[in-house]
Amino acid sequence: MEQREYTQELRTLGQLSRGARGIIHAVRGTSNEGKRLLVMGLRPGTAFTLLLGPDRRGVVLDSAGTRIALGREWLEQVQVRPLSSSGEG
Amino acid sequence: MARHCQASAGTRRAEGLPRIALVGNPNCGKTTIYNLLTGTHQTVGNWPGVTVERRSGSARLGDEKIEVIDLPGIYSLLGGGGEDQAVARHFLRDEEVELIVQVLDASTLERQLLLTAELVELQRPLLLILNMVDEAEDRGQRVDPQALSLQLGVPVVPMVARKGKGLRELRMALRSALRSPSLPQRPAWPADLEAALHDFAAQIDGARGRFLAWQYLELPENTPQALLAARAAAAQHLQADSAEDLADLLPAARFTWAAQLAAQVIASGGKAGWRQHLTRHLDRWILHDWLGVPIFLAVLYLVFVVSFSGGNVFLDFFDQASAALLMHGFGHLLLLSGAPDWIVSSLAGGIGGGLNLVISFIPPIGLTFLFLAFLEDSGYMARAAYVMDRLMRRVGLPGNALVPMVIGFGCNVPAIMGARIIDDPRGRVLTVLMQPFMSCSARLTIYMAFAVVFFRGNGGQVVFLLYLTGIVMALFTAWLLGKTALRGEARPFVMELPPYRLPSLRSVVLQAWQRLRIFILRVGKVIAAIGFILFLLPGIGWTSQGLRATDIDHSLLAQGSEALVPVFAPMGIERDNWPAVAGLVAGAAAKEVVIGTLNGIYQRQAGGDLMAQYRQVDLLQELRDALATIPENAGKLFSSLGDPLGLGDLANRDASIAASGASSETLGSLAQSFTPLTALAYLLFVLLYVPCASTMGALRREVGWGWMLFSVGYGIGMAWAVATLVYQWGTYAAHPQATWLWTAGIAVALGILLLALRRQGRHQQNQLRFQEQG
Repeated sequence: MEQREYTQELRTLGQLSRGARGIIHAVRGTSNEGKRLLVMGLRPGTAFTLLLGPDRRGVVLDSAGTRIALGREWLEQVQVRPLSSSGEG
Repeated sequence: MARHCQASAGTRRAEGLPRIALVGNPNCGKTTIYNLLTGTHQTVGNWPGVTVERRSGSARLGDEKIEVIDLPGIYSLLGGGGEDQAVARHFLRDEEVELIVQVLDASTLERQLLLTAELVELQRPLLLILNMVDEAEDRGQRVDPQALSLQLGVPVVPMVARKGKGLRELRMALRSALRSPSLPQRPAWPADLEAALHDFAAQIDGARGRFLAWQYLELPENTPQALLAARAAAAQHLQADSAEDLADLLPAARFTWAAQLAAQVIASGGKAGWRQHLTRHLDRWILHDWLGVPIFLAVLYLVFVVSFSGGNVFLDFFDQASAALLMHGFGHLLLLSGAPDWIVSSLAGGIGGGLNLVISFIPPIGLTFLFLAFLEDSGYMARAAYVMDRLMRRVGLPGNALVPMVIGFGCNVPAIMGARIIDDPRGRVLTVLMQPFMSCSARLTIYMAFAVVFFRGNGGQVVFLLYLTGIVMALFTAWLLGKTALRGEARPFVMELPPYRLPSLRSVVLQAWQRLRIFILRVGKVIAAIGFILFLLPGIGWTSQGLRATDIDHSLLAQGSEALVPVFAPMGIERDNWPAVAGLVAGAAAKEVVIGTLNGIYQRQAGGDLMAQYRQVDLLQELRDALATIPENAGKLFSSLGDPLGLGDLANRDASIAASGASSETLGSLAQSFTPLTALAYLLFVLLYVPCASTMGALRREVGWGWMLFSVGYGIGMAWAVATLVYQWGTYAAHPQATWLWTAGIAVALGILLLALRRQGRHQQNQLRFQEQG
């Protein structure tokens, strides 16, 4: 299994900065919204790197080699645990 | 080890062709493989680029012929996505097929395997195509196809479909898999999950029991009443040792399996290559917070100006060569065969002339299609959707509503169907209702005929302005309805951004050709039908002795059109310009017909010896002259590219007519019947008024009779209002009082519409509340 070092501190996607890495903790909102992210490969436990944003549009993530654009509504809805810089994503 | 199916020869279709279905995540290269396998042997029933319905074609595997089905891209068999993904889901679960072929993007294998995990549970013969292995290598990943094949028990074919690499191996693998199909090996799920699935599946009838067991466990809302107790027992068993919700537990099993399998078959090493760097650098600019939207608008502008200017190089050649062959040459042949004059003029002049006008516009339309196909294959369209999301959201739409809108530039029908990619029903209805305002290729033929006459110096800019007006009206419509009759919020945006790719020439040309083919076939049919009507209506009219043969100015066509002229008078159509009204009425069936109608009428009105052009024909000289226009027009190409958005010719009728160099009677008659201002008002009406019959059919199918009738009425109203406002304010100095009166009338009508829509919105919300309480 991958070794990851992550902080216990929970943040929202919007609180991360560009280049940050993290792990999805939870998706707030309706179960349908969670399912929309699930089919794109994003679920609690998924590691990601924030490639662009957060900005007025939202963010672009890299998860397992796939670039996924999320609109700004997700910035508050997705809770994440930031990975420390020494961790292996 | 692979398990082999028993019935390989016995499962053939009634038509005698074995059938394979291509399935995969969006952007995995599925359609490229479909094009490689089927070439031009495709049933055109769908708009390429965005597959929202299944389509089929035939392919040859040596001496054997097979049917290939291309399904819309899908992320999961269990649910999610729009109507397009539901089409793929239903096909895979319910339809008979000899072989399912999953296309996987090797560069994002772990995520692509999530769909494999579900397909494996269907227990149908499966073959995997590991596409884009070059991109995986660019990411520093080497995927071992043999290891993957061994783990899953199905054949795996590595490919770089964009370059045609691996096609021979694919054909061989397909032949072999069809002769001895292999059922995939089920993953080794955790013991309690396996037991629960096994027990639950035993209580479900049919071959897909195991898959359905999985589906009902994960999505309880779909469980049939009779299976609720069995589901509850399985759920209880699964959750006995876990605090995790089933909606999390089951996907977790798939994610873990995919991650472990990917780790086993991918050898990672090396650094990211040029493609990754390029994508990262390009995205910084293309997705830039401030520059993203201007870049998108600049791309659209370039597409249309370059298409128009580039198309102009060949336009005269297509025009003159088709006139030589279809009108003069064909008419001459008919005369030689002894056909009477009326047959010659109706066939060569009516139908041949109509076709000639449509064929003239093939170069710019074909170029537009080429550019659109290039943009779709390059990975830019998904970025454009993200870039525009914020703006689209302001009118209550998600960013991916942009994809159907861009398709709408080609044809509104597939654009309306393309709205199925939007998973929110409200957003889908709004997107569908926007499409009739997107300027389709049929309308382009009318713009170009008018641009050639009135705006030749800056036709590209005027056409771009018309396209922009269509976009603005579409967005206004969505905003208006979103605030009144269809209140609500757009769902948050989520979309995969594929890496940038240099599209293959073959794929781009094939896609553009398919679109052009639809355009030509559709127009051909319409022209043939309308050609006959146009021959009949201008030749008879009501006289004091009843219905009698008359000249065209006293014909039924003229009488009917003249009766309608007063309705169009506020937008500058004068009584003697009744052919313009006839064109609009005929154009309700199909916009291509507008120019064909004008063509037929003007030819007859011109009078004189219409038969002279068929008697003396020097076909070779005409074709030589046509060919000579290509280098001549190419010389003018670059001067028009640098021209800014200049609309100077709008005010100067004489200058524009002089610049037009109108070559046919129709274009010449247009110059006599319109001023640049009335031409602009007319074009705006053409842009906005009732969509063609096919579009109306698509509207009814996708959103029902009510919204279809609304769309038609609203479109006519808006077209009339905009055209009237443009004409009235353009001639304000001549009649200021009338201008204010018409403006006030339009404002009042808009206010009444707003109130009615708000009332409808409240009514619908009350109904929803009532249903929820009930």
